[in-house]
Amino acid sequence: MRKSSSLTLALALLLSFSPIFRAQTVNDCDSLRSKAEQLEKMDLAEMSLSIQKLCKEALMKIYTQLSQCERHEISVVSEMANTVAGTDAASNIEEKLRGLVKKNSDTEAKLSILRTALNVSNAGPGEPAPSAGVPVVESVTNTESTGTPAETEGTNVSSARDAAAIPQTFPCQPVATYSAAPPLLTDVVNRDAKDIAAGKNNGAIASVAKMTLYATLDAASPTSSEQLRGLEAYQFLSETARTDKQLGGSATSDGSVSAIEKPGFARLLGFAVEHGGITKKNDGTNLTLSTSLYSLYAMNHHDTAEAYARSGVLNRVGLFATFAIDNQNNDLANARRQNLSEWSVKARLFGDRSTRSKGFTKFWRDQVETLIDDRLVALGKPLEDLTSSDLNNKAYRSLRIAAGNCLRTAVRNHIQDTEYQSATQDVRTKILTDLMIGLLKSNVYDRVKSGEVQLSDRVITTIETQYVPNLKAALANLKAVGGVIEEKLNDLKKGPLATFAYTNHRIPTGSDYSETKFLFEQDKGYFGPLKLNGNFGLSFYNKPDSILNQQRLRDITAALAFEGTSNSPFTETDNQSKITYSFVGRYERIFENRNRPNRTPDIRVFQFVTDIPFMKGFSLPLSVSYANGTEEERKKGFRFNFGMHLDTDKLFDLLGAASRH
Amino acid sequence: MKMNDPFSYEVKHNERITIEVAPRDFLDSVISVRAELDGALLPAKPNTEDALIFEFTVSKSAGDIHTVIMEFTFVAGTPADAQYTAAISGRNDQGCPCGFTIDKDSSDKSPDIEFDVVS
Repeated sequence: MRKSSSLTLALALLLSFSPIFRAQTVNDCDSLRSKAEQLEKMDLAEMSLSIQKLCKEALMKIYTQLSQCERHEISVVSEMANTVAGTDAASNIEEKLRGLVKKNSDTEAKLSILRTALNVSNAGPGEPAPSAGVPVVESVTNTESTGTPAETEGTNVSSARDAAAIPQTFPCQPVATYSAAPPLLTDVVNRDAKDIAAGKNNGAIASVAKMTLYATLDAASPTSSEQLRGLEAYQFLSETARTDKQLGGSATSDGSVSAIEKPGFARLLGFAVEHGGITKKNDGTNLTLSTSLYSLYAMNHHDTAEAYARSGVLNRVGLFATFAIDNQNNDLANARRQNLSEWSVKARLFGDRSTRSKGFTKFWRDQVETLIDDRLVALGKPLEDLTSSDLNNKAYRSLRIAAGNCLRTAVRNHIQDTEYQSATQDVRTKILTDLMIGLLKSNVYDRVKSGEVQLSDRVITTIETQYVPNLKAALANLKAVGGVIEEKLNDLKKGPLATFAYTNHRIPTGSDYSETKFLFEQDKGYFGPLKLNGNFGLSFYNKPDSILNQQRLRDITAALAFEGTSNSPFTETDNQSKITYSFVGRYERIFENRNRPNRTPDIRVFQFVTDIPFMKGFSLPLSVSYANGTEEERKKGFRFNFGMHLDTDKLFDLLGAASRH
Repeated sequence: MKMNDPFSYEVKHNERITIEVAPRDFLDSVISVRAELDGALLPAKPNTEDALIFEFTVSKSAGDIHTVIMEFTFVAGTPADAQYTAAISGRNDQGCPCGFTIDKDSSDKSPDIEFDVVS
């Protein structure tokens, strides 16, 4: 039985080498792929080593042919894509092109593994040399087997010609344990693993060069290792807490916890665009739909910086509509004329609190971007010096190319594994992190540490006295500027901001009326740490009803609020949300209530409003109010409102920060 | 230019490489993209703040590498859907459209792009 299997296998292998076989398949990628799959499926476990080797050699030849065939197809389809660019046919061809590139990438990955297994270079005996530019994964070599790399000549280390001329090789080594790797290295590896596990970057590693550099600096000398391990992981200058969001109807809507309106509505624009131009907010009592002229404009023009700059007044105007909720199961079913309780328009008159304002942009360009540049150069300079032909450091360049390709191939293969694909995102991240860290240890750290790739004394001195210290200084400066950015963002909220608002109130059992308001906000002005909010408004009946004692002018309102903040003891370390509180005084003169029994024309409201942030983006907004009456009756008393709010933006940011830790 | 993966390319000597970065959905938030090439600052072309263009010519010989390290910033308050799309192009591109996208929730906002010079 075993003899029969061997004969069958040998016959198959012989056929695969025969000229007839080649003639039938040379131009047919699918056929080659099919043959390769058949060979791969053969059970070789009980076969002799020579038969196993024969099979692997056959597979390597077929994959080499297949790769050439695929590259030819890519070339043809690429030409087709260029020809039809801009036509309706382009998308199909580009999709086909991407598929072909992916297949070729897989083929190259399998070839790399086979070459490693057979310990052959890119252009093995009898094997066609790959075209110029095909990266060498595990057989990059160097003419200086033991000499100083700085003495070698700079030539194309990624070509088969050079591979044959250089005896020293850097085969892709298996994963090794990298105990207590430097925080900078583990951080960047974890970030890339997380992105790949989340399906980003098409499975590609974003920071191969930095990973290689960190592993090199760690291995270069005990001093450089100690210096590098003393550096904290880099935190990007990104999302921090904001407490100036206000979404919902005007202060007079039922269910509103605030008796005063704030002029800021910049974030609304973001919500609107995220949701395709219009966003909705359900607070249990009211459904508020909102949009801005800019977000509607951006739906057609996309939100680019250019579109924003050209939009002019459009980014100053927001539109809102509030509906009473009687259908709790389907939000949007409430968005009908009968339920419309008010609609409004807000326009920013003066003040710009956005980070695109001239002041903040100038601060960012002048003071922050220079520090970002310093970090980039502190990383790029050592990479360039270690790698470039100026220093003739060919051995390191070879190592860098080989280690990079080894990492890329291993990750590309791993994400195809069934075990990986069936794992959760966190497990996938761990699998890839362990894989990359282990490969960096065996393929970069160990080779530099052991002297397989030698760094000259001059290079090591430069690493210790310039490269790592420069990186340390750049990271320290960026950390320090993080605090300055926070201050600047807070300062943005302190400037005066004025908004004009028009609201049309729809009263199902009464008379509709229009309200105009001037909203003003000034932070940290004459009132010390408290922020001043002021509203002044007039409202008018659209059709005054004389039977109800109505005249054209419905009421006059004025409100003043003092708002403060304090740190919250209920939040996580990364959550910088603060407790906000405000004291509000509001006066309203309702003219139709004059001379009417059981009503008062002068309504005074005093209110305390607070918002207490808790863990995971949850917060508790609540208010306590005292009023001498309402619009409908003269009745003194207290009113208490509270709710629970979840800020999903903040929740995702916190989850992101937690996973990075 | 030939794409190996979104962050790795094969290029030829004297080839002109362009990285065009289009910011999307930033609304009123500041846009910031910085880049370096081989240890020196790589400034965007003047007057391209709305769609930043970084260009360089492959000046190294075959076998060498040009490395571009970039950093994409999403300052506080940037909308959740904001993203930078980087389109990379050269001459007779293969495997393209080439490039990558950095989202606000991308963990790595400072990618390296390696250009292996092959001839």
